Amino acid sequence: MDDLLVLKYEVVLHWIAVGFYILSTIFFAYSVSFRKEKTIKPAMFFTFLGLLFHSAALGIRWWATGHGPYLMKYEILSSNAWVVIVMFLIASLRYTKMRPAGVVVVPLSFLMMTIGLFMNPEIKGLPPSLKGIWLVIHVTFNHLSVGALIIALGASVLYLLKEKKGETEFFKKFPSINVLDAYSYKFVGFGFIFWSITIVAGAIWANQAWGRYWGWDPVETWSLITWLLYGLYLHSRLFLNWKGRKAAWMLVLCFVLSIFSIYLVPFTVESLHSAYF
Amino acid sequence: MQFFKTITKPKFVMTLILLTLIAAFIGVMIPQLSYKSPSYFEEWKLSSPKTFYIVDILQLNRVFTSVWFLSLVFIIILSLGYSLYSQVRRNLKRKDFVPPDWDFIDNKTVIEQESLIRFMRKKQYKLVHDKKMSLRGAKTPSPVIVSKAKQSHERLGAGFAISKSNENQEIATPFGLAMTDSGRTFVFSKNSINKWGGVIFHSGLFLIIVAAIIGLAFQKRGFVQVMEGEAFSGRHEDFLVREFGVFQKRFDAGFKIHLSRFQHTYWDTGDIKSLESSVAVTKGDTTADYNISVNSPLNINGVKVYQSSNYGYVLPFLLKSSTDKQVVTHFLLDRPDRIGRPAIGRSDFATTDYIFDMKFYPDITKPSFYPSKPILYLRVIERGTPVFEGLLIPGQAIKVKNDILQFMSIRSWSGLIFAKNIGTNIAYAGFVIAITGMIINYLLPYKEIQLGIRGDSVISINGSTKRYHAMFEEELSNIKAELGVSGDG
Repeated sequence: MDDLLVLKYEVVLHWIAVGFYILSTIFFAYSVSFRKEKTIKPAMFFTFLGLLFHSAALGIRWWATGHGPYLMKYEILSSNAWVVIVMFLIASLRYTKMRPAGVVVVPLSFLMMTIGLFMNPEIKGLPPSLKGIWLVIHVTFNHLSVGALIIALGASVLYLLKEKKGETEFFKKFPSINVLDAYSYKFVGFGFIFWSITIVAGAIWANQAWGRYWGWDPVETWSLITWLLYGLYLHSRLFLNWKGRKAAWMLVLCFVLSIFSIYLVPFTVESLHSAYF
Repeated sequence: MQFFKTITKPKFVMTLILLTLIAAFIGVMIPQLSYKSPSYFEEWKLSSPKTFYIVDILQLNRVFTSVWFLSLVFIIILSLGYSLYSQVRRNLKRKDFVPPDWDFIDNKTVIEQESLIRFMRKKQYKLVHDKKMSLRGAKTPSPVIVSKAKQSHERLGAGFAISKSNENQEIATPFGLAMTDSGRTFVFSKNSINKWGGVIFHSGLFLIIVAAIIGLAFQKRGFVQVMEGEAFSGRHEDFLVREFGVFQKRFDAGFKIHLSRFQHTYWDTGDIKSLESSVAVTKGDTTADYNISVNSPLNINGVKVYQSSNYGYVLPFLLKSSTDKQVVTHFLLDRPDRIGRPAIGRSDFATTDYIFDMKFYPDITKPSFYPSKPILYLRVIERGTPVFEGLLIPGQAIKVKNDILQFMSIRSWSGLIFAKNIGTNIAYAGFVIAITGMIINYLLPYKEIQLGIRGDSVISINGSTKRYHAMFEEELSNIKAELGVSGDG
């Protein structure tokens, strides 16, 4: 099969997945806005359906390129969205009351995918510096970290909603605000660990490829800024006993700032990383 | 001592994090000398001298090596060091458990003590304390100390925590209830390693910062372009580019490296697939062959040699003058950034007034990086006047004024990076330790459950944890339900 045909199938599958994610978002939004619990199930179902098509699209691309989906914006954004959705579904199985967090998680994921779909989907060979286990670890943990932080954000947004709306019939079905706060804290903990592993794997990889593990490259510095931001969040919880609303708003702020380092800087600023995006 | 106490105060620590954050933010917002070319700063200086002066005087264009940033790092090191010392001391002194956060009151559930221990073990809680009548008050309300005589006649109270018994068998019951000495308290805990999480994490962080300082002070780096068939002496003077730590002045690799062959391969799209230098390393009287490729550096006595992504073509020329004087000059051209484009170079020809303006195509028949059918478009300029312009293939000789110029052959040059940083292994150790600490800190929160037993009855359940209280509260409620303990929760 030639590359163009593969690309065609893959792009179509990606768009079908986006379609299901949009449907899922509508159901989630309807559920949360109008406090209809019964629309959560179809929302989850469409998320799962979207994931199937999304997985097929990524699988085809992997097969066609001969490497994992971690090169160029198109692949990175799509695989990132995939990891977020998988993490959300797994977390929803474990903590069923977390499902309404899909109202934040699913739209953010398909937004990522859609931005990727408007980028150049050309198939690119893996440069020699990207061959090696450290890159796989670096990218995998970056995606996991983003997933964990988005879920934490979802929990915080639910916290703020529930706190604002009070204990209505619908919101009673959510976890208690204290549990939402704890979920958010826990997922930030996950995200912080994963982000640290991302930085460490990147540093080891950089040392193998270029002979230095840290060079204050803009992407590296932004990743440190993100790490410090979440470090500050975790210290605020521990030292200043920040919890509840304060912690939720701080997380929202941290997340907004970390979007710079996760999406804007690597894709726009001239750096060593630019070659791979 | 007061100074150290101040720099480890929570608010001070958070200020340090915030200041580091601001410094890093300045470092990304203002162009830095470390990744921008010197010409960029020259232009900036010319276009806005005042702004540049302020930026330069405040060292905002070299934030991460500036005096103020290094001072900040120094304070962080002190703070981390003292904080580690205090944490270790506190942990070694700390009691096995902490007072409970909440209480449950029971209506006497009958349970065998052995099966209770087994039950808790299944939940991955291990028994850390099993004491008879050795109690201490909880946080609120204030403990009531009861005498030994009183104890034997009063019923067991709820919501107690235990500690080492002392000679007087003092008992504290936080809710004003005394207890009988037939009571027993089991303390179960999970993830007791958690109390070392902070120490481990901060030790890792400490090592990483120490490694960074060592790197800043003692690292050595050098870049060299080696032509196929030629050798690099390894001497300080022969490096093309050198970078040193503050306390380093020379970099002698201590071995000679001869490039036997340089291989570069490409994907169909023209992207680089692999780069590999086959080298012979001579150290003293011994010579050994190695291959250096991207991500696979060579390590000779702590000096690592990396394959750079800079490489290109060597165009050697022989110039025979009318007086039969022969001069050979090698021009090193960088590989073109895209397939199909020529490698471009402009340079003086040694010992002459000629300037060579070159466009080299590795393959005239198709876009390629492999020099299979190479051709060179050459312009020779002498004092501003072109004296030759035309195409050349390897081996061809042309006449330039009264001289004979021969385009000899095509070879490759490979960029090699030499680096020595004794801090790397310390940094790696720091990475592992810090991540281990984080995992212990955030994924293995310390949990403690205290069960008050009287006879075969569980009469109270208390629990405490450092993180995720609400989730632990749910866990505790489940345990309570499984034990059949009812109460206010």
